[in-house]
Amino acid sequence: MNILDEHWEAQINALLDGELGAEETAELRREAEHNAALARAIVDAYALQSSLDALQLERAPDSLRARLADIPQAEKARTSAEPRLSWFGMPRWVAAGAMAAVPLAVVAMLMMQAPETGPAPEQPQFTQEQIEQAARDVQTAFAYLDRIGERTGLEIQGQLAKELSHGVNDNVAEHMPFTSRNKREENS
Amino acid sequence: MSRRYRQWVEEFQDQAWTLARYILKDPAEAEDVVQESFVKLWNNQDKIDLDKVKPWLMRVVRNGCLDRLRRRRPETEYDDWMEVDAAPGPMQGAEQRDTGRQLKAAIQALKEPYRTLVVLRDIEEHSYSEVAGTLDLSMSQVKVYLHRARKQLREQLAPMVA
Repeated sequence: MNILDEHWEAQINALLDGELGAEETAELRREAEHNAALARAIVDAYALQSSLDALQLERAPDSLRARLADIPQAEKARTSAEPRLSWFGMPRWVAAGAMAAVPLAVVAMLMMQAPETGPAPEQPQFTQEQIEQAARDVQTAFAYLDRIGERTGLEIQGQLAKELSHGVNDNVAEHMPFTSRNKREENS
Repeated sequence: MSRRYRQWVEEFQDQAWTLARYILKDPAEAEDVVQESFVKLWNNQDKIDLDKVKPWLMRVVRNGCLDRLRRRRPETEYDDWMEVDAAPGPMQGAEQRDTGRQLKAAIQALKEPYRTLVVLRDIEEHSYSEVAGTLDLSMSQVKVYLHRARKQLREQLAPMVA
């Protein structure tokens, strides 16, 4: 077939799809009367179409029907068994801990940089106001952890063993040695 | 919500199954893909445009099938091909005839997206716009590709249907 046949190819398909108008159909017929290849293509296209029409949708097997019918129940059971997630798929208590850990990490870094025996010339110095602010941040962070711990204690029990949830149900600050040391430093 | 899902299952399960069978040939794999697709439908039913559920589902089924084909070794593909004629397949009534068997084989041998186009349009009788939505093609692309697919089929089957 030459390049011109692409046009007739499209016309044949439009004819089969019932999209060819009366005028274009007549034009196709006229062309086919003296174009044997086109006439043959039309005959083959109709033969193919009738063969395709004989192919029917296959009925889904009963095993698949049963599997599809079970999906709502199975998915409901699965989603109710999963922990509720928040930020980027993290459990809420993990997210809360991560949020509270940010100021704690900042404070820890500040304290680690503070000289124990005397200031080194090249190390940064912190004012009393900065240290007091850091201590307040620590208290705020632990207070936040305590509140989150109370709220999510039940959630943790569902996910972890009971003994692991113990420290969160109680006052977190009392279970962390860093806090008491911090209090001593604050009082001294 | 559950009632709506049941309506979708009733309406689309045979179409999804037929498409999966033509692409994958292996009934067990086709069944798995259709189930996975309906699980996705259930989990995303609130996000899907209700007017486009069918193309959405067919796209998921097709993608699932193609993923499996990509993971499959060539020799496995051959084994599955040989099993098709023994198992009840999409041909059902026509399968016993040579024409039907050869037509089925010719469709299965088409490359993508031609194969899916023929199944969706000529066997499942989806509208052009639904086919376009399923394959993420323009209407004109769908028509051109479908013409090419039908032409390939005609050329393969011409000696037989003459």
